[in-house]
Amino acid sequence: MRLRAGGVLIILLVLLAALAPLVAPYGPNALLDLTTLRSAAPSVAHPFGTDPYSRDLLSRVLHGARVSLSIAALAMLLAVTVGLAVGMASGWAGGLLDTVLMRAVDTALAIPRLFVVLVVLALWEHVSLFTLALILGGTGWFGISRLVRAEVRTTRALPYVAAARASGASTLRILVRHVLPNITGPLIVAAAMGMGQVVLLEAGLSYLGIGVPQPTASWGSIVADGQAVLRSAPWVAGSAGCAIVITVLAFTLVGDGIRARLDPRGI
Amino acid sequence: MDSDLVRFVSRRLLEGTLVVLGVATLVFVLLHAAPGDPLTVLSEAPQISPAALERMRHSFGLDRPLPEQYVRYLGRLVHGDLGTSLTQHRPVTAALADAIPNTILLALAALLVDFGVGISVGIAQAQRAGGKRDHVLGVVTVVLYSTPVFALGLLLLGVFAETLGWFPLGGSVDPVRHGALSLAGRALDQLHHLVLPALTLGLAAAGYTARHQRSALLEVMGRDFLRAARARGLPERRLLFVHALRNALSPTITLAGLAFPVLLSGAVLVETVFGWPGMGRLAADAIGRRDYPIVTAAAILAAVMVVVGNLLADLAARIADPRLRSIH
Repeated sequence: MRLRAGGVLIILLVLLAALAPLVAPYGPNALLDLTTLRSAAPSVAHPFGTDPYSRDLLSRVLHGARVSLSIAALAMLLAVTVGLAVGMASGWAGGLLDTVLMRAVDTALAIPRLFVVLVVLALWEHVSLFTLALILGGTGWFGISRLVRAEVRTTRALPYVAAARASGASTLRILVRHVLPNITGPLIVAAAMGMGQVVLLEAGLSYLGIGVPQPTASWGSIVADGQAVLRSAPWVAGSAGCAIVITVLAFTLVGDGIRARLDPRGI
Repeated sequence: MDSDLVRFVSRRLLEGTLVVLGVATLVFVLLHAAPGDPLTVLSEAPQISPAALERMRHSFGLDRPLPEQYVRYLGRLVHGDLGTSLTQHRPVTAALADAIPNTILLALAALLVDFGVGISVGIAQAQRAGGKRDHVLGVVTVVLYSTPVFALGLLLLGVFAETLGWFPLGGSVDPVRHGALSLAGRALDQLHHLVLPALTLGLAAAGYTARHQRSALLEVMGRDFLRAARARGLPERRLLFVHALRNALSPTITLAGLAFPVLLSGAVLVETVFGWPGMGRLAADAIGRRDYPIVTAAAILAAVMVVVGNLLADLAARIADPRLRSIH
């Protein structure tokens, strides 16, 4: 149930994001009419209303989906790749490499993630959307590498892995053919949950004005635009806020749903 | 005081020091991996001549080899010197000293809300797992878990401060009246300002805590000793509140240690929404002004807080669960 609901939502969101230029009634940054259409209430012509600069909110939210989802997807791809590589190396090699890598991961986990991102953003001045995704991904793999390492250590002790090694399989082959399939499930759960967290993090940075640069539509910056007119035009912050909640909810439901399937005993 | 406890604490303190050292090193690496050097920002200011910049580089030791700079950097950290703010023209420690108590106050109040609400909801769900109440609360917690903390803050701000006027619009104290109030009045004034930010930060985190508490309780409820207790005819209420809760509590206390980094990250956003003069808002503002010493110091101090928070949580877990005392 959860899996299906979340999956349908995600497919819908991805479709809307991909087709945003076709679906959106206006351009995301088009100032429609600065004299009469500032913070206009939702209507037939503007289903979500307009923002204080008279931009159509439906169009901005749709284009915001493109930005948020593609940043999150790229960041998660990077996080999963690095997490998988580090976790496998650490778990398979053991010994000194394992100790050093996992100590480093513990250290990184001790800083609140937002602060790591703040330090990087403070030092590098002009951050493109691509770099932002790299930063978010680069700070998102620590937990995944711990998870992968734990699974690799359990798997490598199993008899069938010893059998594969005895029959002459290379380390790489064992890792890819025998260990990887065992960790796919938990990895997908972590990636789904991680997608939601990256969407939240990017929205938070853009709300602070240090994520996606203005005037590019992003859900976080739309909420920031709406803060000044919170009472007179709650639909500005509200529309983007709901978009964020629905997206994160969809990924959380998928993560929960897959976890429930993997472990039928857990509820 | 047993020697076990002393050994446990000293070991954890040593580990914590290593973590903070690692964080400081990471910050150092990032500082020097960034394009230009820390004074590049100043070179954009026209009133500073290249010669003056060169002298500053020399006086800050930026022309020395990296390993030497690293050792000097650590030496300054050990002495509590976190550098000078580029925009406030005072030591970073002075700027942070004003902000840190506010952030700690906010984080602790939020932790109280987080655990008060999270644990109660988790218990309410586990009482009748699979029932209607469990489902409804399950939906509420997963939505809370998916809500961005700044949007929740704006929602509470819009409803309870702007529309109903029950709470102030922002800040940590009333700027006009606060100075004239009595000691108790000042405390009440601050508490009044604290309610909405703490609720925001706490509720946003409570979704996760409730989910965790529910599954921890259900896991314990399935164990043999509880089946035995049920077979002896103990009432369901006693099973849950006395037998299961005690056993499910220590993972939740450990969770408090893990909640700390999340709360500090959230504090950056909540402090911005409510104009709460804390460390997170200071750091977020400093980015716009390219005042990097404030940001790096805030990151290092955030790590220190996380380490201390984890240590306190582990100590509390040992008190709550005697079984942990024999394990190091």
